[in-house]
Amino acid sequence: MNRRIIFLCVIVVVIYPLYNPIGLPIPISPLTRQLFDYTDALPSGTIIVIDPWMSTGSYPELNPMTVVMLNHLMNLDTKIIIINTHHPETLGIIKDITIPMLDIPTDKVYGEDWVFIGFIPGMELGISSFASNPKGVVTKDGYGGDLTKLPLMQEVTDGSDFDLWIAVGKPDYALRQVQEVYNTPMTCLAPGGGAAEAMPYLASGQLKGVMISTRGAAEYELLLQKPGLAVSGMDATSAVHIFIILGIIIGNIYYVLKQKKIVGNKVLE
Amino acid sequence: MQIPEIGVLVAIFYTFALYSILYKPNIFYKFTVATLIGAASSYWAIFALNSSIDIIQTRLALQDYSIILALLVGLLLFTSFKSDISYLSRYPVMVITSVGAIVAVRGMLSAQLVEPMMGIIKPLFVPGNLLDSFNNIIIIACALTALFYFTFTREYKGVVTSIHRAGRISILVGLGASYGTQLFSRSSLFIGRMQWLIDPSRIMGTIILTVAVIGFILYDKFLEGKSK
Repeated sequence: MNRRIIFLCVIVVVIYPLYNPIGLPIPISPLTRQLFDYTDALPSGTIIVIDPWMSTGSYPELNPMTVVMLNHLMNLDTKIIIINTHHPETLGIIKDITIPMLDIPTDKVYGEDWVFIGFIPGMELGISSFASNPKGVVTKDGYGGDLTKLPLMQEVTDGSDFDLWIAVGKPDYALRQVQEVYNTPMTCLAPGGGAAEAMPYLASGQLKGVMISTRGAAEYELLLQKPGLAVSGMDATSAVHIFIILGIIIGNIYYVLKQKKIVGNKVLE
Repeated sequence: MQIPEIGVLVAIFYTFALYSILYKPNIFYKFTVATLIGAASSYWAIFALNSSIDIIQTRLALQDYSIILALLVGLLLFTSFKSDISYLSRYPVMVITSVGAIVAVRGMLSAQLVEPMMGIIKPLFVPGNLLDSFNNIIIIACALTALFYFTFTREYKGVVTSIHRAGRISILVGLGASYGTQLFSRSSLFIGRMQWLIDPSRIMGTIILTVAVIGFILYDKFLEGKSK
């Protein structure tokens, strides 16, 4: 079969539910419930660091998770530090796409209640440097302002001052450099491909909660009672997965029948 | 519905151009890839320069003059462009890789070996909860048999063969689950992009480019038929 027909079918299967929502139910999984309950119970004044590892190729999946988590945190009495240790391009994604999508309450003041720190190079080394000396790595925030003058940054001297670290993407680096060294609690917003990596850390208690891909973001949006981008994409997600499952089943049946035909011919000979 | 601004139209064009590889390799795809590589490389270069200047200024302001040594070692990387002194570029590479490895190992043993293994130690029977008991037995059995699969000190016969086979099945189940989540991830990326394209503020641009793509495909088919 020409592969282009399969590609065309996938496009139709995705676009139709986006235009005509079916309204399939989205049950809340225990994983998302665990993360929601943990986040909701954070004490007043908790200082949270969130490190989105988004690139231009991965932000359609990670951005809904980041947005829904930040929306939840912004409505709690918490202080948020948004950092970027992944790619330089993540800076633009967070500044121009993620932050404008947030519902920031009017009583949340930039500099006092939340801060966006620009790019910290070095990936794991960057996380380690930031955790050991947050004000010594970079002096400017994501908007070019003086970071050292922001009141929230006066409250942190090292990783032990962080009450929660949220890794959006791979949790390994932050587990090694923050959770292990400073005993900082961690949660993870994992992409689909990284879910299998994150689960052992959840089982061992190193991660307090895990959100998996856009499905987790949709469930979280429902728990927050603010359905958004992730919920609107769930019908299309279900449709394309059913299409893939049927394709795999039909492909395997065809393969078995084809094999039997070959074996049958040899027996006759 | 109105035609989006030029920047959005360019983004929609690039999206269609990248997906055009699904039809066949074409000049629009190659152009888009070349543009992406050029833009990303220059963006990274400027960012690296700005970040380096910012870090050097920060450390000097804190009277940490060891950054000057780090700067000089880092500049040695550029000696790789001149063949007679390119051996000097190995020193900064050595520093980068060794420091990176040491920093990674610092937390690795506990965070990625000991603690996850502690997570496997679970009760085989949970009173009043058969499902949890069953889950715990499966987790422990799969973990042990999967670990045993990678032992090569005993000949595989008898009971050892069965354990080895069980380990292989455990690994294959894990790989299957990983493959499923990867598929989920890829479909999420595609759906996210489709949501962006059919947004009401951009739908007019999407329709224009869709008509253009259909026209391109029909023209291509016409040329194919003509050449036959």
